[in-house]
Amino acid sequence: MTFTRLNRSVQILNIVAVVALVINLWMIFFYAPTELTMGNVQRILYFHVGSAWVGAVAMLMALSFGIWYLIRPHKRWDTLVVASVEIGLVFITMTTAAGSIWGKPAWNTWWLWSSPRLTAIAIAWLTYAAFFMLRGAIEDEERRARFSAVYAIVAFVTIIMAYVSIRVLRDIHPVLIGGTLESAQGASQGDSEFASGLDSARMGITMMSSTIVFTIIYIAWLLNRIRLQYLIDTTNRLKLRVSAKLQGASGD
Amino acid sequence: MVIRLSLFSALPFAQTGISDPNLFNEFLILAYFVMGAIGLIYVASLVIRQRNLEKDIQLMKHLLEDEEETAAS
Repeated sequence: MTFTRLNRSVQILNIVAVVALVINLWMIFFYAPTELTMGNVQRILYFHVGSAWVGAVAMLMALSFGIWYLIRPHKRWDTLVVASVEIGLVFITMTTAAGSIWGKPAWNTWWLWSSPRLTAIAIAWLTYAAFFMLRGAIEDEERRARFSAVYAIVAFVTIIMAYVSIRVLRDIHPVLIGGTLESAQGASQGDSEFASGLDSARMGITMMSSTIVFTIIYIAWLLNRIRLQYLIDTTNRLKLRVSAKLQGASGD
Repeated sequence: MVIRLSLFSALPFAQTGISDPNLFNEFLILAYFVMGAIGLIYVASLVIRQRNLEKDIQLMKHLLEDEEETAAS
């Protein structure tokens, strides 16, 4: 993809993402009904679930790009790994912040270390934050890319842990899809109580639209980040040329 | 039987609904403000990094052009 084409794609996707986000916000605040037991504060969950979904997808993409890099080492895959992890970390931060704020009125606490889900997501956040420390510590480009690819693959275990934790361990965090424990059964029972009405359908449609909109934002940010990497590479190449010229000039 | 029927009819009211749906609105506003701020900070970081890089590229292109002009003269 040429830089001009990439630029155009970025501009189009940026506009699409903004329009989609505005529509999604309208759906969250005006289309979705007010939840019975929690009231309006439940509307936090539309963004919370959407960003959690994309956070996990971004890390899964980073894992896939990492595997591709190890199979066929090319700068392109390394760019995609770092871009995906960076964006994924932003979404995980959003998820954690929103979840914590929702937790205060729902559980009367901002954070619970006894909750396996909350602890697992904190571990995941720290693991992916350390990814950038690792990259900063390695100077050799190829070595840095290889280590990053392996790290992105291994670090995905923390995302799996966060996903599985509420399904196999007792947790205060609700389970949205499936589940084997009593808490999960309670959540699905609550869901079935809503399931027959139009209100439930509206909630479902809004939740689905949130995940789609956040996926669009992820793709838009990914392209923006790729464009940034292109500029970083161009700058580095020019820096080398300038320093070579200056060294040549001082040598004369 | 009567007891079971009366329990069944009471089921829709068993779940205690919130008295005021706007009771925790400050948390709703705070959550969307924080999430928006995180997103905007990331977008701003992308814009700032891009601007700085474009400036660097322009500067280095000028340096290279000047160097080539000096070499030619």
